[in-house]
Amino acid sequence: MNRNERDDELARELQAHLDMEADEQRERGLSDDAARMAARRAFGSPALARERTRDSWRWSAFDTFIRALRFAARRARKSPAFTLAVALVIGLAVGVTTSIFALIDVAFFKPLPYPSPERLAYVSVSFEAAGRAASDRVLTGAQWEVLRDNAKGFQPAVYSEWTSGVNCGAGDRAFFVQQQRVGASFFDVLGVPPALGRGFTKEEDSPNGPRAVVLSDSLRRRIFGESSEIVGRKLLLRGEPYEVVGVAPPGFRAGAAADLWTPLKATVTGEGSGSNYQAMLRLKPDVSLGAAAGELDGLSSALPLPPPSRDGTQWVPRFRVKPLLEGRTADLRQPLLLLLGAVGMVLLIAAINVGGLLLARQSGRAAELATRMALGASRAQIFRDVLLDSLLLVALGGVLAVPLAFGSLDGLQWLNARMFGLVETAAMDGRALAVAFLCTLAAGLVAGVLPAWQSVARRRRAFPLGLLVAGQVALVVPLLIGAGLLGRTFLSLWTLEAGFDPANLLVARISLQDARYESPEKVDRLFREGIARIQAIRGVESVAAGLTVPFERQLNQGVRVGAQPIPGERFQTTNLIYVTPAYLDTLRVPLLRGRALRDADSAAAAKVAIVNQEFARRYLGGRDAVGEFIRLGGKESVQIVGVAGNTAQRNFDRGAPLEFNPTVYVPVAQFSGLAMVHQWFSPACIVRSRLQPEALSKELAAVMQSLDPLLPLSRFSTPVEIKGQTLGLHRLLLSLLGILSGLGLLLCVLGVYGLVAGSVAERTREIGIRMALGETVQGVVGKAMRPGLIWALAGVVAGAPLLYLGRTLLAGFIHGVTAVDPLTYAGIAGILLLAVGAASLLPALTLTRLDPAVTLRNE
Amino acid sequence: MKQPEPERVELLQGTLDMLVLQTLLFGPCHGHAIAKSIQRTSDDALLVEHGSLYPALHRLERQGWVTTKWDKAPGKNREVKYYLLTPAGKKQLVSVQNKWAQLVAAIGKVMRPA
Repeated sequence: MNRNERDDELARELQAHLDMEADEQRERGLSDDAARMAARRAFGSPALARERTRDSWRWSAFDTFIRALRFAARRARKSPAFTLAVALVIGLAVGVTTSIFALIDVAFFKPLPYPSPERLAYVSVSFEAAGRAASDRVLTGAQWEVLRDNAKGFQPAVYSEWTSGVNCGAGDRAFFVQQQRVGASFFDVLGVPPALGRGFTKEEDSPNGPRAVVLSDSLRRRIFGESSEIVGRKLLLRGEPYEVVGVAPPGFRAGAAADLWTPLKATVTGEGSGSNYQAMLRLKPDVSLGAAAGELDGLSSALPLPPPSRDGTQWVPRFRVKPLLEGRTADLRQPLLLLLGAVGMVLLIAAINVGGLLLARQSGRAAELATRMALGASRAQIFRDVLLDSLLLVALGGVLAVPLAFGSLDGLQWLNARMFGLVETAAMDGRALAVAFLCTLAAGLVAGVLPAWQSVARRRRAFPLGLLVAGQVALVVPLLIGAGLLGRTFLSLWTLEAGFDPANLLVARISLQDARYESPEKVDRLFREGIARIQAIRGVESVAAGLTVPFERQLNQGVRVGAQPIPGERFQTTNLIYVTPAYLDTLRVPLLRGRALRDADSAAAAKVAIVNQEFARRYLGGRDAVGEFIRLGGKESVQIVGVAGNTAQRNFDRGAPLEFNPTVYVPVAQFSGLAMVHQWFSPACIVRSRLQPEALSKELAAVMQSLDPLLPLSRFSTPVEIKGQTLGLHRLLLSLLGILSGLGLLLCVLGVYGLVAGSVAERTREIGIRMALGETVQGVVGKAMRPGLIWALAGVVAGAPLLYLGRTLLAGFIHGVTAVDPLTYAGIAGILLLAVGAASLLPALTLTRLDPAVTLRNE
Repeated sequence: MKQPEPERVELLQGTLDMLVLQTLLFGPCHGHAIAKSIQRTSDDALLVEHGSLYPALHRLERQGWVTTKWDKAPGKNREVKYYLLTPAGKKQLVSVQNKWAQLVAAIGKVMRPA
């Protein structure tokens, strides 16, 4: 029997009952009408009986739900503007929350796309002394060898997380591809054997071993199409022939997206003397992560000790191990948590805001609900219906949130957060949609429970809407302060004294990972010829080349001061840039003392260097630097011939992203170890000219083509673009926090507006009387604004403790301003005051048009 | 003529089902008759709003303690829905009767100590 038949039958049954009772009463002598009335009285409410009986049917819960839903839908359709407003507010809030969750999911929860990812772990080294631990570092070559040679309960692998651009030639075609360098056991440890061929052998992974390469699936298709005869083919990589030994499965990646993999060839000298290697391991089947940590603890004693620091502290290295996912995303966790906190607050603000809207509308339904209650509806039913009403409106917002979440994830990707390839792998999938659903449900409950509760409250006292406004303001205050502090930080970093003239400069990169350019003489000759030809372009003012330019990450090198070694002496770190003589001139970095580098500083001449002011200040104690000797990387000594001004550079370790660091400039002709540094850095050609960047780029590309067709210029950028990349994370955080706090503020303003407008509408008559009794318009408007201002102020006070939470999350992102920066606080207070004031004033102003006589007559 | 109203007591929660089953022990009955019968046998002391009977009847039907059939009411030109006790319903009645007897005895002991 279906639902309708059942309903019909019940109706017939009840009607029969009523008729029989009426018959009986008639037989007792009552009139027709009176008999029917008596039957009704004896029966009680038929509607209630029907309702209760339906409730006893098995599927009734679902049926009543559908019925209530239909009712709610009808009401939603009747007030489209209101419905749209609620859906928009919730949709925006849930949408951004969902897209941030998609990122959080990738960084925190989603298992890595390898077999048994829970058995993969990340190994780093921390230095500890007297109960203190310095931040974790990646491994040096010597540390890696300890791990490699002693592993028992696990299989370790070494790799480089970063990719670098290299030229790849196949037949007569050239490709600019991203290369990642990985150790021999890399594919085994990840548990992803190449789809074709094999990974690298130990032999291929050792210095001077056979040249082997593994291709990504997409590069293989670009080069070889669908042909399956790929293993054994030859490619030209950095000008040298490589044999293809394998092809990775489609979509495989470890960190940044790479087009091909080459052996890392880890060493203990050169790059291996510094912390440059990432390490991971796969646990053997019966070994737990805890057991592996214990084993690594034991191995730590075999790690070489660093020399004691200047204050005599002996730092002791220790292996540390954590799940691979955690190790890989360590740097992203804090910014993502910060964003999660921010979107969570916006979601809560949105829910409270909608709660206020629903509550205000609720007062208009009081009569309807009273009638329903009088007709026998239970409190539970009314509560359920009103809640469902709210949930439906919010659910519409949830539906709207899905496309918005897709859009905002695209937006995040567009904002160029090159977060280690993280943003690229984030996707709106079932998990993100489930979170969108849960967020919507939570928002619906928060927003809907108050009106529902109000509708069945025994004592009909209006809930103070101001409390909701205060709640929203309390939540928006830390958002605004956070955005303000980040904004000030960004501004101070962006406007940081650059130390050079960035206008009219274009930087072109050339990948010199090329066997033909491993000696300083050859690189020097390339630069000389190139510079001479570029100089000849009309409109070019000055040209130079150098390993790096300001605003970006620099080569870091150990340095010792003095011509002769001192026993127990330790390395200090400096940035090292090889340059052509015109480098500082072209950048317009001032030479403060001594002389500039010149063409005569050749490979055969005495070795010379220029240091910057920061170097002289920090390592030479204010002595006159000119004439002093330094030893770079412990090699032969170099004489300082000049001191240059500081330039802003991307910071090496934590701290402000842009800073003045000690820097040494050496002539490229005297630089050794080019092959190594060219693995990490593509040197820069710097051109100062009056030409448009597009036109100049074309000219430069033509010059390089004529010079060496196998060396294409890989990319062009202006110093401002480089700065933008360096400050990318800050820019991303600032943009997002700015958008979120703006959204929050807008909602607060709407809340305040609604509060004041509502109270004005409610009290028009009273105000009319007061005006008739002689109160001034100013007085009336002032009083009308009061609830908005007072509740907002209460919110500010209540929000103050939340600032502590914000400060913890923001720590590490704020530079150049203190976390209690008075200017930020004053500025935010001003903005909030202005916004709340305007939102209170606008509705109050309607009172100036109020005619007391009309109001009174309307009685 | 107005009769003096007997003093009425509210039905104890959950006892209505038991009363309905007991009434049906004497044969099939429709809702109206069940209501009348409960009122009559309790000498009008029990206040049963007729409407409240139906949720109970449908509940009993769902639990399989009664079955129903539509039939002509005797002497009337009207179909009514009859409720019949099932064997399971009889068992249930015995069980609740026992519980009820225990409850009444226990309460009696407390209220009128020997």
